[in-house]
Amino acid sequence: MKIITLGKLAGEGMANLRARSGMGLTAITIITLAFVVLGLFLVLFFNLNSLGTSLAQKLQLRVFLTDGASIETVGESLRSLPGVEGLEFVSKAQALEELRKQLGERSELLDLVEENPLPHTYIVRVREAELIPGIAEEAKTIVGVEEVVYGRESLGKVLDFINTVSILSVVGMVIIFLATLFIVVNTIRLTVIARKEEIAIRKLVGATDAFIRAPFVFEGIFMGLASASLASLLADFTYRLVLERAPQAIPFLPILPREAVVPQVTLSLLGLGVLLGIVGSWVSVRKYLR
Amino acid sequence: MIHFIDVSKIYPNGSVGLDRVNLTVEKGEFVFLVGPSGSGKSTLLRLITREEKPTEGKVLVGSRNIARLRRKEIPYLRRRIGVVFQDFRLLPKLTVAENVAFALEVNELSRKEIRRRVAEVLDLVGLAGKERACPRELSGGEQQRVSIARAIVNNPLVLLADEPTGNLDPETSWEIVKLLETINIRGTTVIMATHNETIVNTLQRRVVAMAEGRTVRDEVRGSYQQ
Repeated sequence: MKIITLGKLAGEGMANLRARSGMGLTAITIITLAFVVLGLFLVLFFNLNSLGTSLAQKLQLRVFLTDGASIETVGESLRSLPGVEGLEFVSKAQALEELRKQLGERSELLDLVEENPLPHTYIVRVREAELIPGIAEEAKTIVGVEEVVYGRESLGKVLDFINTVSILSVVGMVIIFLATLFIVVNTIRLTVIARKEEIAIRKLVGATDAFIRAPFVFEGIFMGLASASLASLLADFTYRLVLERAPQAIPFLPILPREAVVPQVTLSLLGLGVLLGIVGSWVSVRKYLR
Repeated sequence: MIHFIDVSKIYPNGSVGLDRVNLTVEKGEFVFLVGPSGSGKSTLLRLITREEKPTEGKVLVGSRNIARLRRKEIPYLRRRIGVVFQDFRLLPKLTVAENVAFALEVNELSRKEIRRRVAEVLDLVGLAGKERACPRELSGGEQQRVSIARAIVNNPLVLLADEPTGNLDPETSWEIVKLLETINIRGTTVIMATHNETIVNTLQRRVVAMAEGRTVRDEVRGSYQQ
């Protein structure tokens, strides 16, 4: 199809929307509100993802070596495990030194021990928190590894929580998307019914399916984009309010700064708006193309 | 140019639209299709535009069996066929010129070319000067002229007219048929389904009579009744 035709059909879609502006505005308002909720789910989702990542960065595995194990060999084996980001080596002597510092005055106790009882240790940083238990299991099987420790219990619970909420927010987003799809389909169907004769004549004079469908697809995209833009502004506004209040209310939770969330949310909403328009119009016209 | 070879059309509810029809229409012919309501005239026309698919047999338009046409190819078939109906089927909100241009837009012609061809065809059907009128401001005969203009503006191979005079008084009917004759003389094949005895008898053209889905009579210079 030529660009100029596409432009003409886009104009026709816009005119269709204006011709039923009451209906169109109602639909856009409802979709906007739904998209605000969807946007907040996205905000939650992005924050949880980053929370998971930052937890992983804070959480470390400590791998204790057996006496006489080859430090280099174990180090290489650890490095080769999938998901391992980096290693830090703490020698027996360093470990003892740290312990001394931690004990402070009572460090005299250590003098009672003849030999250094502490093992060589690798501190392993991992890419994602979910990977920690798996990496721990793998690390235990390496020859020369005595023991692996990490905050197993608490980590498991936190990760389960993050996963559950992530899944719920995705489910919520899907439900909202389907609900808005329903609104778009019904709104455009009204236009389609009002244009039934035009569609029939266009078919008769040899219009392709794409030609007939185009105005309705554009109408859907306009609706989706208008709603998504408004919703993005509202979601941005809401997020700024949250950012202002959150540090006092929930100081223990790290919240992503505005610039790390709002652009993604805006782009996602605009993308979903376009998708909504395309799918919605496709469904509404399909029956009349048969 | 148009061949029906053993074509049957049985609708899903079991009623018979066409029953083993064989028919050939050559390029440049003018054919009257006569017969009582429900005898299969409209079904025959709808098979040519591929609004219906035959249950059995072949329908050739040009050299292609359009029963086998893929969905994507149907629009290009229809651009070579003009169709006129009893009820005109004009869009009431568009002007005369816009109604005619509607058939050209799907071809994606330039605006200039569209304007030129609309003016040309409106002149041919005798509606020059009425470009900006709305269909409801026109008489029935004038509305049918607009619909004929829309049907022929793409220079189709064949013009199908399904009772084009059904809603018109005798005098206007006659003018419309004269117009179809003019279009036929210019080289377009015309197939016209009609109940209008006077017109058929006066024009002395080929007559194909149908009854109960079959062609029962085919005469080169026929009349309405045997």
